Amino acid sequence: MPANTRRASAADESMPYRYDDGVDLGVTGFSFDGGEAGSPDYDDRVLPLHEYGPWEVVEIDVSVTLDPSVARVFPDDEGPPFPAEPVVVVDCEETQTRYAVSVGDDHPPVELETFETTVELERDLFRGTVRLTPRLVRTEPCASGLPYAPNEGMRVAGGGGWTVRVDDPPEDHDGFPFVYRDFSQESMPPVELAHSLSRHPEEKMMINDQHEGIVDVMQSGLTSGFRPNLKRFLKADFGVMLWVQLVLWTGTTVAETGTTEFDWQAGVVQELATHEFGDHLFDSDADYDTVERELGRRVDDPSELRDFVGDLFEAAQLYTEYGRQLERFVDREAP
Amino acid sequence: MSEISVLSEAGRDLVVEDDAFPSDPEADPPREELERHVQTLEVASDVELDLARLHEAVERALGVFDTGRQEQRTSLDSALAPVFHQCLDVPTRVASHIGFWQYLALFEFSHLIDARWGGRDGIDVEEKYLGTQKDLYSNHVARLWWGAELTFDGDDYLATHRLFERQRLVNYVLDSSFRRYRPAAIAFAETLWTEQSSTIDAVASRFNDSLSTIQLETRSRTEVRNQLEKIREHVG
Repeated sequence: MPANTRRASAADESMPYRYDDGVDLGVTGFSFDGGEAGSPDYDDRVLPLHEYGPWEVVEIDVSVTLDPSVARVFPDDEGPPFPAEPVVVVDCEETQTRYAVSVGDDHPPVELETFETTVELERDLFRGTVRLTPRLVRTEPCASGLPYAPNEGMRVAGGGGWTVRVDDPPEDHDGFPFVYRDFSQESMPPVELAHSLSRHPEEKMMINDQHEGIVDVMQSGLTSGFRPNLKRFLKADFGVMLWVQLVLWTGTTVAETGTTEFDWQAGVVQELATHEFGDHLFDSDADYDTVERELGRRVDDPSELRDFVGDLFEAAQLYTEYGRQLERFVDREAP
Repeated sequence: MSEISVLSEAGRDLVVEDDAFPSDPEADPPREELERHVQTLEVASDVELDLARLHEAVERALGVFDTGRQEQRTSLDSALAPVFHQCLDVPTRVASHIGFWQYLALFEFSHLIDARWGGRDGIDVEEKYLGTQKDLYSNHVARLWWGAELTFDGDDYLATHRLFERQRLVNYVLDSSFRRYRPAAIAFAETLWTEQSSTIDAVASRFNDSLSTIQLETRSRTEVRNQLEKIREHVG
């Protein structure tokens, strides 16, 4: 058995005749458009095609191994070789596509050995996840009767499959990395992707379009319902994360150079000095220069930093009304 | 590289929460508000949409078939499904976007959907405009396109016509999991298109039972037909 395959040993008791789990599907490699080769994830039996660049056709080299235990699904006088054919079933639910790929050229009958073939997938025909599953299928009726599968076309053995990920699965998103951009850049996202994370409309932050579902929620024009409620909560949630980062980055710059370096950092100090956001961190009467100086001091001093981070999280939560939005979301959307 | 228009989830919500549309037969889709929720999606595939020809075919069909009569409504579907499939030349990767079908239903073919489904007791008209990708029989434009996609044979749409001639048949096939294996969908339409709903139900039930042991994807269209005919003889 190839090292890159695994199989279950338990027989399938749901079948009304003898059935064996001794068919193993291995993937020996895959390549795109006849060129670049990819690496299978042998642990999870996944082909992560979405991690590679654009492609049109992928060729997947597979091996199908019939374990000696498979012999028990045939009467003694039927083989080897046995009247059956190994196949790999290709199934994509999203594009309504299902078919079988024959393995090897000379079947039936089939010996209990390893066969190799190539499964070719055209990107235009698939989306999301494609399952590859090995099966052994009878090609003649069986005169012996039960416990043997009586009819041609019946599957008599199978095994674990592989998952081909054509597209990035949404559940695999690794967080919401923030990207800071100059507002004058031409490559800025269009205005409809800008969402105010501040309570003051002139200050906008961006949710990038790499997360269509989130953008869709943030664009919800309604005032009530699941999406608007989720939008308010997400704005508060993103807002806390973002403000903590912005304030710490600004504080670090001030600690290092004595003043802010970028316009957005001056904007952060202005926000702290003129809105209640800063009241939780500094004297409520503190002006711009005082806030800038104090911010640099508290970030620069290790003995102050731990308390400052705690105060900062509290201030950001109060400022974005995080608790109120979370309570409102739970209150209105709980089942 | 091509572009398609798709309705976003928020746009779908707007339709769901609209007080008038589609429950009020006089109300149109709230297109002005929905415009903000139409996204342009870049797709790597070649896409050709001949909407002019499609609109022409829809108008002609609506003039021919009396949508007040059940059998003529199914004939309308039967006539239009191949045309939708031909005029909306998209690969299945693109067709798997439900927002694509929702956009077409709301912005291009709402009058067809209203004529086909509006004002009928027990019909969820809203799902004919929206629907989901898992329920191919729900969104009407997707229903016509996918019904044809799963049953056409080269340039031959005979099985498509037969599938749509019987509403019970098309609903059953599009709701089944075997639909994904095209030879089975074609064989089902070819074999059962003249049968009563009770026979279709009985044959379909036994056929589905057989799939727990039969590896359907290794059976040819002829073999599936033979199996269905045997089951039909048995239940008849």
